[in-house]
Amino acid sequence: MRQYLVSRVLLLVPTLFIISVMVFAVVRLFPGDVLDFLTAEANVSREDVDKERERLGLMKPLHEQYLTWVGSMLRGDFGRSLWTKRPVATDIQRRLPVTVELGILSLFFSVVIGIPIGILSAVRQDSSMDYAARSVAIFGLSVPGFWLATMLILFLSVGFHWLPPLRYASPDVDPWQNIQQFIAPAFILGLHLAAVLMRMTRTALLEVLRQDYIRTAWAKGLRERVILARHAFRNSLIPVVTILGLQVALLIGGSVIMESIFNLPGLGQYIFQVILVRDYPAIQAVNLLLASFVMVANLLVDVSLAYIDPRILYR
Amino acid sequence: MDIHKANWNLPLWAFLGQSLVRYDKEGNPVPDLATSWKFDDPKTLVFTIREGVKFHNLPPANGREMTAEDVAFSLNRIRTPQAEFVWRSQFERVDKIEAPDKRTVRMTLKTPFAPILAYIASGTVASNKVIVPPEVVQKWGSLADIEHAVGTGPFQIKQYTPGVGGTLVRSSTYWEAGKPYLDTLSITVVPDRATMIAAYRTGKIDLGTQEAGEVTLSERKDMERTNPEIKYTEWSRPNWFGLVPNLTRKPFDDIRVRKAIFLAIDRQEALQLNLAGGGYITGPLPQRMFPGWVAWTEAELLRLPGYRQPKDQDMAEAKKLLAEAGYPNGLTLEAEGTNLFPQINLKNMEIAKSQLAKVGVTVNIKLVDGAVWFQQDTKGEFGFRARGYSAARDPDDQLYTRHHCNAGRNSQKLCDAELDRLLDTQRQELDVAKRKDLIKQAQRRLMDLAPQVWLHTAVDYMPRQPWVRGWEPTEYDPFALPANIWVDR
Repeated sequence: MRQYLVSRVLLLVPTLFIISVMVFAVVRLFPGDVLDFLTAEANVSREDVDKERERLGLMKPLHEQYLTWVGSMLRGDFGRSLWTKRPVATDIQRRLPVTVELGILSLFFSVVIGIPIGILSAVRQDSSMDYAARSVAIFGLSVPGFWLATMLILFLSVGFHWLPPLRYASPDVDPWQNIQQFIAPAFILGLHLAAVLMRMTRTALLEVLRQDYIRTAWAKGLRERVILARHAFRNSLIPVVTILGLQVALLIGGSVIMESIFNLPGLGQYIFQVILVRDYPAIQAVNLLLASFVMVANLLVDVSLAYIDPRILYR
Repeated sequence: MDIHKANWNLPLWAFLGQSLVRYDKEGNPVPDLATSWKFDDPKTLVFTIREGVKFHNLPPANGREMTAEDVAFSLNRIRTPQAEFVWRSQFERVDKIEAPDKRTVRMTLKTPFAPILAYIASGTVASNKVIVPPEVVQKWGSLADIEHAVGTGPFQIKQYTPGVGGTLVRSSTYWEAGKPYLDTLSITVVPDRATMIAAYRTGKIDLGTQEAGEVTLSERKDMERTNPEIKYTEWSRPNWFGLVPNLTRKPFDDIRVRKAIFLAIDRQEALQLNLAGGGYITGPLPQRMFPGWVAWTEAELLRLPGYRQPKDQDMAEAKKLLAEAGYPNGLTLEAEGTNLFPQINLKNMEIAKSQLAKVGVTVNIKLVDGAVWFQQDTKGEFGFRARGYSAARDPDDQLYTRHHCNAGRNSQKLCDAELDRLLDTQRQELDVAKRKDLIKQAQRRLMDLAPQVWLHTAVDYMPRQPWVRGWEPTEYDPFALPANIWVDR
């Protein structure tokens, strides 16, 4: 196991390298750069704009630009934003906790909603409760989060003259305001994931419940709760946990929209802004960071699978 | 973003900083940090600087007095010959700016230059020719961090987080006696429009300013249904929308094709469909912004070919012109659209597409993203696009920089000797009456050349809660002297 872990962690290095090359190349493949925005609509000569490009190092050969970037990243320097001129690291540092909080809360909601309902509808298959749960799941899957979010805001403001506080407050400054701000976006993001989890839990559990050893357990006269908790649920968890890992990438995508609608200054909002203005250092840093999140999440999933099912041996 | 470089609105600075002159309600330059000015000769403009103006009591200026040296430093910084200082071109006729003594700033011009005062008073929306202490630039390298902003405005920064908002507090060193009235101003950035409107409805925001705090006519009607208490100030945007072809490309190099398109477009319909009537139809200059300068009043304009209703005669003439130009069976135009800017642009192109179909012109719209859009614009690599124009509150910025053959923003490459002559002459004409006449001639010439189809200017509404007093945004100054705002509740 330890050997496996070490090799997996070591494998992150080449993966990160490939991602860094891809991110670097892709942002430069899009036509247009930050100077097109900085000088958009301005009465500026093309020569002066090119001089500025030169000054910012955007005219250097690509491999040279790449090495400079990787070199400074390795020294822990994320560079300065070409748009705001602020250090990218400062921006990320300030915004990361927001996205992480949103992500954790959404995952929390998806697990506490999705898994119990999934279990219930598997155990009471084809009951009215099952149908209701499945309808909710289909609703959660098919209604886009941005619509739900906008409707919620409209409903609250028109119906109750109430809105979540507009200005972001971090949990250590004002926990109550912070919760008011996060509860709606986290719930909406979580609802979508919960629908996926619920369907997955139900399917997996139904399959396990038809296995011979479950019948044996029934035959032994075990109580339903014991059968479910000790024998069935744990074995149905493998696909569920795998899905949970994959959801991390989805969560990041969803945070782009939720953070804008609910005015949360996180990385989702940030990445949208920096891609728009082609702020290369910022796009590269954020993408690399998010890619590492996804990789670490996948690693955690693989490791936890071994704990869930001892038959899985990593060598 | 550095206020001296920013080509984008930095509304915060409207509270923090000031310039030598500002606009009054009618758009005339009036004293701000300069108490008076006069032309010693047509090429020398001398400003007398207000006494007793102090910078914010924040390091590194620490409330010291503002002098002519600071003015010269700030204005010269805007003239830095680097592309990022995008406002340099407004000072291109300036030779040097000096401070011979503590209270005097002398600006020497290369040629007489009529729009100079307007350019000092203007920016994208509020003036960005703000006067700052040099030590701030020396200490931080630039004005990029708004957290470190120091100016002479009624409010100073207490705390600010980019993209979130912050708190401004009353500046204890402010020069207008007894002002500002407010102790604290809390600014919140709300990127999502639906959220912003919900915040107005629930009274979470006291007032909405530029940039993007204003609402459209239909949004206003919506808000009035649920919260009739909110007050609004009508605000004609400082820009206008139109259809702009690349004149170096076929078939737009043929004036008959241009005129045909000009005639076939139904501006009234576009205004209704796109803005639900929340605006007015414009010529080469938006009428409500330049009442004394336009060649046609709004009523006169609506009687001109292309503008008049019904469209029958214009449509027939458009078809005839197309046939004369060699397109009796119609033609196909390649157009670009982008989602970046107000949807107004893309919608205008879609409306144009359906209107031009009636005279046999097919428009293919290709969607591009923001950076590509701008790149094509600077490189002149576009076909036909719907876009907005925004400019300083001087006709020079609207006409010269877009339509003079040598101007940097003339991306459609219009070159007409007669127009250039008029535009060059008005720049040097210091007699306002004569200059107005030249500007009117230039508009008539433009109308004959039909380089683009001018459509409409949007009229928006600045919302404020009923308890907000003393805040009177105008077309020229949407921030309307923030020192005067007070709250009654």
